[in-house]
Amino acid sequence: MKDSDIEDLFSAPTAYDDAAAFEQRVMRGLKVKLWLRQWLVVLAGFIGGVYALAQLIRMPDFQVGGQSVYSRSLAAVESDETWRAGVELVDVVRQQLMNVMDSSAQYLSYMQTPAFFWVSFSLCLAIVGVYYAYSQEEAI
Amino acid sequence: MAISGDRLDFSRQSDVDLVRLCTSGDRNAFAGLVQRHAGTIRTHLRRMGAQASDADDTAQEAFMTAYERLGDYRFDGPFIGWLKKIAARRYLKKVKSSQKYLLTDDMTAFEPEPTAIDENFRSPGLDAAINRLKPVERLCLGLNFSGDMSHQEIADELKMPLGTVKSHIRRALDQLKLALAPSSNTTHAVLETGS
Repeated sequence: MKDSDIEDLFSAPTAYDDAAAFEQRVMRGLKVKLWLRQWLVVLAGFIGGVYALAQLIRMPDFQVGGQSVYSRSLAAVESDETWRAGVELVDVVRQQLMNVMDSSAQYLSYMQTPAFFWVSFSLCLAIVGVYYAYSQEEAI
Repeated sequence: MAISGDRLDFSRQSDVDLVRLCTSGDRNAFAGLVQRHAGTIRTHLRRMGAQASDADDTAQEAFMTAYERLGDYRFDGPFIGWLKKIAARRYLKKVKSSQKYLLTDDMTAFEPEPTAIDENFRSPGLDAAINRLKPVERLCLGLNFSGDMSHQEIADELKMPLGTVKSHIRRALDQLKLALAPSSNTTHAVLETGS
């Protein structure tokens, strides 16, 4: 037997019973990987967009812990009971909404501090570092 | 492209056509390349010494890497050669992380189940003989004969002296010839019961 005979044996075609299943497995894996990467980019864009917006928004005369009381006094001066009940309901809802916005604004003011900038900047650098290490691992 | 059963039929298109379709965004064309070359890549990895499940995982990773790097393929050689190199390098990365695999003389941990070989391979004689080689001989032989890599390329990849690579391949070939020779029944018996 010569070396070329061994080479011929090596180049003989091979068949697998689970060829179709393997093909599906590869294409499914590829689809998931591309989908994850795509949505990671979307998510990163969304977070970056929210961060950038947070830096632009300024709330004039904002006080942390301030409560809204204006409509309660409006409801108190109305004479019609039914109308007043409606106004009070709307007022309660508005007040709750204002409180929610107020607590969001507290987060907003935190997002504009230098500490938050350094935390998010470090996080972004870490993500870029991990992504770079991963791409090196994937290199041919 | 035609449809046979529930699978697309790409038999009339060449690898180059399919790669061009893939780079223009047709993911189905890549399924055609997987369909055509999966068997060769899986066998290539097994012959280098990967166990069945490890070989399939590495083959899958190689195809996924190839899809992402199709732009790097320069059409200067057969597509299967490029794919084999990707698969081999991925497998070598795993092997290099456990150097003891290359240095061991004890084959028991690397011997696959005999039934798996007979069912999956068309050349069970060759693969049974390959399974009796030392891991490092098998790796060098697989890279040379199946991966079409030169002795120098193998030496560079494995960070071994060129002479050592050549002697590993020579010894592996001698053993294969001995095992595959028509009158090797008695030799087989000795190999099976011996070390």
